[in-house]
Parts: sequence; C-alpha cells; structure tokens
Amino acid sequence: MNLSETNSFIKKENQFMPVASRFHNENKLVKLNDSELDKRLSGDGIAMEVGPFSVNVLIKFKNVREDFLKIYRDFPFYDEPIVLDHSISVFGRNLFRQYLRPQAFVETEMNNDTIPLPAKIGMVSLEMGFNWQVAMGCKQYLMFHAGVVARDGIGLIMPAMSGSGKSTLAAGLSFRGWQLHSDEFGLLDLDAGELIPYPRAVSLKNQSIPVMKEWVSREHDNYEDYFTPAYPGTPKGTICYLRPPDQSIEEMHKRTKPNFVILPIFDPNSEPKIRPITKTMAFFRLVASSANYGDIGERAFSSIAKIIEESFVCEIIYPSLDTAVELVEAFIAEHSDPKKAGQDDG
Amino acid sequence: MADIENQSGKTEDSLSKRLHRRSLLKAGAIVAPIALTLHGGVPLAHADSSGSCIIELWNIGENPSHPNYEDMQIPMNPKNGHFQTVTNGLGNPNGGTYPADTDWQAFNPTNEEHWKYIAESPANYGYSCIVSVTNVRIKGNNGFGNYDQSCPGGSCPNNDAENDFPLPGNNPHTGIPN
Amino acid sequence: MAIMPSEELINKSAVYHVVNTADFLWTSFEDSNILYDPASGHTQVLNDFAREILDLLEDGPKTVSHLFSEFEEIIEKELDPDLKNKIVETVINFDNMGIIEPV
Repeated sequence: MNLSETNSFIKKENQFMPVASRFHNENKLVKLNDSELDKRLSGDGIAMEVGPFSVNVLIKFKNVREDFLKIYRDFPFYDEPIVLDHSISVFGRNLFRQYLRPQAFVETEMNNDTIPLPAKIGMVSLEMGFNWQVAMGCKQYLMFHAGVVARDGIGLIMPAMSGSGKSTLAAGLSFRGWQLHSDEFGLLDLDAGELIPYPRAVSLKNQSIPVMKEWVSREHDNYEDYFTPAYPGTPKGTICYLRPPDQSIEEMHKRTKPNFVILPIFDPNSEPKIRPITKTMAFFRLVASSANYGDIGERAFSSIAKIIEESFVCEIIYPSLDTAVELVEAFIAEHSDPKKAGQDDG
Repeated sequence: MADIENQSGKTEDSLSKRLHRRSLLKAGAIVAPIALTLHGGVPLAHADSSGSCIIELWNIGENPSHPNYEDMQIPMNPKNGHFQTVTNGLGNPNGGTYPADTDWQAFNPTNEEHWKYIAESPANYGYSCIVSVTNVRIKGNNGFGNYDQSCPGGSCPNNDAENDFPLPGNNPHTGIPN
Repeated sequence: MAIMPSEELINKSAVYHVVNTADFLWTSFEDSNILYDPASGHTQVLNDFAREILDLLEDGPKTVSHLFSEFEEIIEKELDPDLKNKIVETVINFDNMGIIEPV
C-alpha cells in the first residue's frame, strides 16, 4: 500500500507524519490503567499497536499479564474493534495445564509449532509468538535481523548474528538519546525507502542483563521499573526483557531513511576499533541478514542496493557497551556532513 | 556511482565501466574470474498444503506416544455424545469452566464430534487449521533459525532470533550442538 | 603445461548465449558486480573478470573457444591453460546458475 494514497496522516506537534500502521486511528486510542488493561487482557483481549502492526493480545495467566504490562502499559491501545494484523493468545491448553503445573501455550493463528513453556516464563512464550508473527507474516516490509536506531535524520542499521551484542547496543544507544526502532527486526518500507520503528521489548540474555541495568540506572533512579523479572532456565540461559525508553514509544510512528550501516562485533578481549569494510561486504551482510529477501525478491535487491549506495559503512569491534557507543558516535560524527554522503569508507 | 541497471538498455555508464574493466584485465589486475551465488532466492516460508495440519492432527491422534498427544483433550458431554461448551467465561473455554461431569477424551481422529470440536469451538488450537483454506503450514519450522529447515541463502547464522529455542541435537548445517 | 580437467568437461563446440538479459538487475560496488535474476530469484556476485565473460556472451552467442580468442584480444597476450580452465569453470557456473545456456 502506498502511503501517499492512504491520506492517513497524524498531526503531532504541528508536523504531519505518515502513519506507520495502515489502520492507525488516533481518535480510537484509549488510555487505560493497569486494572482496566488486566481485565481486558484476561477477557477477550485488547488491541495494541506496535509500530506498523496492530495485534490483539489475550493472556490467561496473571503473572504473564503483570510482566506484559511492565513493558507495554504505555503503548497505544484500542478499546473497540479495529482491523488487526495479528492476534496472539497465551493460555493453558486445558484445565490441567491452566491451573496444575501450568504451561503457557501461545497461539499466533499462524500455525506455530512452539512448545508450551512453564507459565512462570510465559512472557518468553509471548515474545516468541510476537517474533513468529512478524517473521512469518511480514512480506510488505523488507525485514533485517538487525538492531536499528535513529536520531536527527540518521538511520542506523546494525545487522548482526545472535551473540554479537546488537540488542544490548541498540538498547544502550536508545537510553542515550537515540530512538529505538528495534533490537531485533529492522523494517524497511519498500515504497518510501524509510525505516519503520517496531519498538518492542528488548530481549537481554545472561551477562547483558546486569550490564543494561547498570546502564539504565545511570539515567533513571527507578531503573528496575524498566525490566521484567529474569527468567532463568531457558535453553538460551537467563532472559530478561527491557522496556523501550518512553520517547521511543511515543515516537513509534516516526520514520527515518537509513544512511549508516555498522556491523558490531563484541569481543571482551579486544581493543576498541572502527574497521573499514567495503560496500560489497556491507551489501552481502544486509542480504544475509534479511529473512524475507527471497520472498520479496527484486524490490528487496533494489532497496538494499540503494541503502548501501547511500550509507556510510563500517565494522566496530568493542569490549564493552561504553566503548561501543563511543565508537558508533565517533563514526557518525565523522560522517555526518551531508556533502560526504555516499562516500565509501572502505 | 552504483546505479541499478536494467540490462535491456546499455547505458553510457555501463559502457565506460566495461572499458575500465577491460583495462584492468589487460593490466593483469584481476587474475581469475569469480562468480558466486549470494542468495538462492529461497523464500522463508515453505508453504505446504493447508491440509497438512489436518494430517498432523491425525498423526497425533493415532500415536499415543506423540509428545502432544496428552495435550489434545476433547471435552465431551457424557449425556448426549456432543462436545461440551463452557458454562461461563464469555464463551471462551480458556476463560471459563466446563461442567463437572465433562468427559475429557483423548483426541480420536475417527470421531466426527472430535473434529467438530476442533473446527467449531472457540478453542484456539486447531481452529485456524481447518477453517482457513489459505492457511499455510511452515514445513516443520517452529522458529527463526531453528535449523530444522534451510534458511534463505546463507542467512541461517543470521536468522537465530534471540527468543528462539533450538531443537535438541546438532545443527544439521554445522554439526555444532545446538 | 598439461590440460586441466575443467577444459575437458565442457563441450567446446557448444554455443552459449545469455538466457534473458531484459530483466536482469545489476548493481556494483568496488570490484563486485551483483546481479539479480528475477526468473530464478537468485542473486549472483561476479568480479570484473566474470562480468566481462558474461558481457562477451551478451554481445552474441559464442563457444568457449571464441571466448578464449576474444579474451586474448582484450589482454593482448595468450591465455595460459590455468586461466582457460578458470574461464571454462565460470561458463559452467553460469550455466548452473541459469543465466546462460547452450543454444
């Protein structure tokens, strides 16, 4: 759908912005307190907007609802029927699984085969379900497995493998003034060539949990309010979710064109460095990180070629979050002169 | 400047690039040709027939040792042989309770009432399997980068979503334990 | 120098042509030429040498022997057997990729 054809704009601070969600309706958004949200979540569910997607969320376990609200209570909700992109439910499959040795099963209505998890880590099931819906169902946007942040007209894509620290880095930047698009799913509007924010819970694992708690605590005395409980015993170790900064939630419809691609490599034993890479390599990495490149095909090829052509690219090797943020800021500062746009740093 | 060139019309730019290329070849700057496939064009979702989920339900029903066998419990009314509905909870079985005399039966794929329950009850599991003919079933893939099927191009290592849970055993692509 | 296996694998009298240039999309960075073939959905990466081989085949259908001759004209010297084998391997690759075929 071409945004210019929808005539859907929202007015915010005297600026018109094209809405990310096709069915966004400012007039239907509601502000509900936790008790009201809890009631709806446990009943028929409630529709929530996250970036370009609207999803009905239904949760039958109280602990999971509490953890969900910690992250999402300030997100846009609708209290009346709207057109949905997805519907997700977390529940016990039968009475036994609901109340005795409770197991949380997630239903995404997309033929997921996810195994039920103990209800005490049902939030993990929910987030897996969200990931599944976007990963499997998103064909209208080009999708990257990447951390994506933006600030002042700069759109930064950080494609990386799991374990590279991209979630921690994306989160770290977002708590230092960057708008969090996503720590996991970079989305690109193929028509407009713009990055679309999708600011969900940031998934932190193992050692990154205390790192991010310390990081957030430098700016926020009430830093614990940003984190769910830790969920130990998952196959990936201990997982904890971090709420995006308030501004990133408020700006979830604010888009930016990509113009920087940085490949992060976490190495606790390394000296921090910015390493030049060729645009060819950056192109390869973006294609390799795109889960729906094959589905979209020709337009994906053209879009990635355009991103690389118009971006500054490099690799950063870093031993800590502090140094990673410094390296990113240094590279951005060096190349932020518009006249230098399109120049190769390789 | 890297333009996207459509091959049907050679541009002046592409001709000058070719001249430059030939000069490099003549100078011996390029020693060997290299041609690689970066991406095989494989889509992420390998769509099976929507009927395959029905086959899967059938397989589960006929195999008591299947790990999901015990999860497939059908609430039956012992008095009339039809499936049971909830007594409260806004008509949602997950929010309500079944009558005390509900007869919970293991799913029997030869029992038409069991199929009716799956198709018609508000219960979520199995519902979309039957009623949506356009539903696709992702072939055995229960998550991003679980290595139980090929990933597009070489994207497997980069498709390991952090909320993912790998299958037991080794990664079939690398042999490394998951 | 002995003839390497690749040159033996190919039918030197086969005439190859590029399948369908009209819909190919190209982009290039540094010394890489990246091709998107909508017919197959494949994305191929060619260095400048491989790109020139494809260009020669786009100019008109050719046998491998013709390719050798044209390259020798471009570089103004005789191709050694190793390089001939590499050209043959590239032609075989292109065939496997579906961007050329025997006429």
